[in-house]
Amino acid sequence: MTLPLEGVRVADFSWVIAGPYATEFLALLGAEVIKIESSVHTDVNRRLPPMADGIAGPERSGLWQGLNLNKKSVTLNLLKPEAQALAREIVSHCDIAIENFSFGQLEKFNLGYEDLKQVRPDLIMVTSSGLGRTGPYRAYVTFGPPMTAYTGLASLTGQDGGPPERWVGGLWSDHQAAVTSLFGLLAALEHRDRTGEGQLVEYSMVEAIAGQLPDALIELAATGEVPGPIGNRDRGMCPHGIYPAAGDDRWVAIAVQDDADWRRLKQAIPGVAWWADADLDTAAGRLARRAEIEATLEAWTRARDPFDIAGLLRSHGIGAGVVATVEDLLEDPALRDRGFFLTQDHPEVGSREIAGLGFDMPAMAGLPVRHAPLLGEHNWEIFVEWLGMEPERFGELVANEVIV
Amino acid sequence: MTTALNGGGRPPGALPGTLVVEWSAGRPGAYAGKLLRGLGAEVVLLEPPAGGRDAALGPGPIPTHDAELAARIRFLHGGKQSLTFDPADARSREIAGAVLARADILLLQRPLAEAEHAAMRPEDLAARWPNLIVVTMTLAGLRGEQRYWRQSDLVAHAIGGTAFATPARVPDPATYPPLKPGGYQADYTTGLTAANAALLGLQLRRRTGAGQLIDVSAQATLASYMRMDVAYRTYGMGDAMNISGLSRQSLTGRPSTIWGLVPCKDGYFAFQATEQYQWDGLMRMMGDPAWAKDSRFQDPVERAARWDEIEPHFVGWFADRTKRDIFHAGQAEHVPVFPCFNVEELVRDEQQVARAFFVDLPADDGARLIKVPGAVVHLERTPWQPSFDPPAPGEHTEALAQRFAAVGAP
Repeated sequence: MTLPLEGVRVADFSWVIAGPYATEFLALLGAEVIKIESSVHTDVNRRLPPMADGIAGPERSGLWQGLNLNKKSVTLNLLKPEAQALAREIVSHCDIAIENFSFGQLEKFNLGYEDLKQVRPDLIMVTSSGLGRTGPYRAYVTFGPPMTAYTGLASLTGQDGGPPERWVGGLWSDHQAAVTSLFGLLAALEHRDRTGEGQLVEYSMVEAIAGQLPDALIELAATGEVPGPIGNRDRGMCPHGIYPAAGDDRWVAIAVQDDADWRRLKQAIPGVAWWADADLDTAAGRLARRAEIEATLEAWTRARDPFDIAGLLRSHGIGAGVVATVEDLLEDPALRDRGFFLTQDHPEVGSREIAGLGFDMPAMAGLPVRHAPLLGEHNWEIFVEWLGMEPERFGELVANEVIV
Repeated sequence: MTTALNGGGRPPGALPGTLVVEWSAGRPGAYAGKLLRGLGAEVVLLEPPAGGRDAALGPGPIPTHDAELAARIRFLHGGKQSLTFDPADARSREIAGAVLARADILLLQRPLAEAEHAAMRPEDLAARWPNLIVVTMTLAGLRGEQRYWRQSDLVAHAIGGTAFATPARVPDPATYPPLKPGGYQADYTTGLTAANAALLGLQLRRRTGAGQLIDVSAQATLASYMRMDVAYRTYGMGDAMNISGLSRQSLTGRPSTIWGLVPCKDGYFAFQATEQYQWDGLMRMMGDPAWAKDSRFQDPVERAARWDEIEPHFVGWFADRTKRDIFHAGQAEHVPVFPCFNVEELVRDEQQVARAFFVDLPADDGARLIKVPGAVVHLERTPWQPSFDPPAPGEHTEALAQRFAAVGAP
C-alpha cells in the first residue's frame, strides 16, 4: 500500500514536543525522517517520565518514544564545524528541514534557512518558536504549558465564573503547534511539487493556539465584555454540561443543542413533570431556568452508570458521551475498531502502545510502525551507507566526538 | 519555476486551481474550508435552500446573536462561493454532481443519516468519483453505529480524553467536574486536522492517481493529543496522569517538572522550570531566597513533588508585582514565564501588535472593525489569501451551473 508521503525525506532538528510530533506524523505517513540529535545534550524528553516500569534511562521514556516512532536517529555535536557540515550534507538530500530551537540558535550552527538553501535550493524549511521569529519578544523562551495562559485560552477555561484553569489537557499547546505546522508544511510541499519551488514556513505557538479563539474575540466586540470561563456551559444551549454519574469520579457529558434535542431528552428521561412547561420549549426559556434543569438532570445522572446514560441518550439522537479516563481511551471500542493505538516493539522496553493519529484512510491499513530510534542507532546507515563516508573517516569522527 | 504574481500583484497561495466542495454543518467543516481557501483553493459551499447558517454557527438566543453570527460567517465563510443544494430537487442534484465531478476535495461534515438520506453517503461518493478526495468529519469516525452519533465540541472533549485531563490539582474531585477547554477547540482542531488530511490526500493522489476516503474523527483527533497520558499507562507509571504528575484524585503523585499558574498583583502568571538552569534563573529573579536553599528543594523531581510547599513562597513574593513585570523579569533570566492574559490583553500585547497576527474583520454595521486571528502559518512564497467577504446563500448557483454544465449529470 502506498503511503501519502513516500519518497519525502526530512531532516529533523526539532526537539521537545511540537516539532517531534509533527515529524512523527510525517514518518508514520511514509516520509523518511532523520532525527539529528546529540548524546552530549539530549532531547529533554529522553529524560522525562513516564519511564518504562519506573526505571530511568535515555531509551525508556514513553513521552519521547511516543513522539518519535518510525524515525532514524543520528547523533552530531553541532557545536563542531565538521558536524555542521555533515548536517548540511544530510539536508542536501532532504525535501524538508524542520526545527524549533530558540530564536537564532540554528543560525549559530550555520544551519539557518539561508545556509541550507545553499545546499538544497528547493528546500522547505519549517521554523518555529514560541512567540514567532519577529517582534520584540522573539527571543523569549517558552514551554508549551505556560502558553495557554499567555494566549488567553486559560482565561476561557475554568469553572463558570471561576479562576483560569492552570492546565489544558493533552499538552494542548505543543500538539496544537505541531498540527498547525503540518498545515503549513503540507501546503508548502504541494507548492513545491507543482512548481519546484521551496520556501520558508514560519509559525509561532502563540498563533497556533490563539488562531482558534475567534469566537471569544467576536463576543468581546459584540458585548463589550471580556469573556471568561463558563465551565462546560454554552451561552446559547441548555442543558449543556458535564454531570456526575455513579462510580468514583465518573462523569458524563450531555449537549442539548437545539429544541428538537430537548424534546428527545424529555422522551429519554420521562417523568419530570415540570419539564413539560411550555417556556422550556425554547433555548431562551431553558437558559432562564438553567439551574433548575441542571439540578434535576444531575440528580438523574448521579444514580446511573455513565455508559448506560450515554448509550440511552445517543439512542435518542442526543449528543452525549462518557468523560473518558485514559483507561477508558485504551478500552474504547470506537478507537480500537479504527486501530487508533500503535504498537512499537522496542529493543529496550519491549512492546508498548502509543496513541495514534486523528484520521484514518484505506491507504493507512496495516500502517508500518517501527520503534522509536535508539540514540545514534542509524549513524552507520546514514553516514556510511547513505552518504558514502569511508569507514575510517567515520571512526575518526566518532573518536573526535563529532558523531557523538 | 518561480511563482507568478496574480492579477492583484500578490503572489497566489499554495493551492491555486484546486476545487474544494464543502458541505458542512458547523465549525469543523467550515474551518477546514476556510483554511484551504486561505491557501488559494476555490471553495464551493453547498447550502440548503432554506438557509442554515444560523443553526450551524449561531451563538443562540442571546441579545448579540445577529452581530456575532454575522461576524462568525465572515470569519469562516469569507471568500467562498455558495451553491444551493436541495437533495430533493433533481436539477440541484445534477448541478452539485457536476461540480463534484470536477472537484479535487469534498469536505463533508453533516449528520451521516442526513447525508445518506440525501444520497450523499461518503463511501458511495468516493466510489462514484475515484479521483475525489472525500474528507469526512464526525464525532467518532465512520465505523459502526458511532458514525451516527451527534457531533458536539463538548462531547468530543469528553470521549477524546481532554476533558478529564484538563483540570489539574483538583481540590475536590466530587465537586469539581472535568472541563472542556474554553471556546470551541475540538471543533477547530478537527477542522484543522481535516485540512491536513485533505493536503495528504493530494499527496497520495499524486503518487497513486486515485482519490481517497479519509475519516477524521473528533474523538481520535483529541485522543492523539493524549500521547503522554496514554504512555503513563502503557509504560507502567499509571497513577500519574499528566505533566503535573498529579492525578485528579491525588495532590502528590509523580511529578515530572515544576510549573504553575500563580496569583500576582493584577491576575496570574504562568511558569515552567524543567531544566535546573531555569530554576536557578527563577530563584535569581526572586532574590535568591533563603527557603530555596532547603535540601528538599534541590532535586528537580523532589522539587516538583513539593510544589504545595513551594507555592506559598511564590504567592507571597509575587503578590505585589504585576504579571507584565514578572513576565519580563523572568524572561531576562531565560525562564519560560508568561502573564495570564485575557483575549483583550493578548490582542493589545506588544508582540502581537508587532507581528500583526490579529487582523480587522469588518462588522456588518459598517462602523466597527473586529480583531480576529489572521494567518496561523506564514508561507514565504505563497502567502495567506485573506477574505472576510462571504457569499450570499445560493449566490453562485447559476454561475456554477453554467460553468460546469458540460460535465453532465452524476
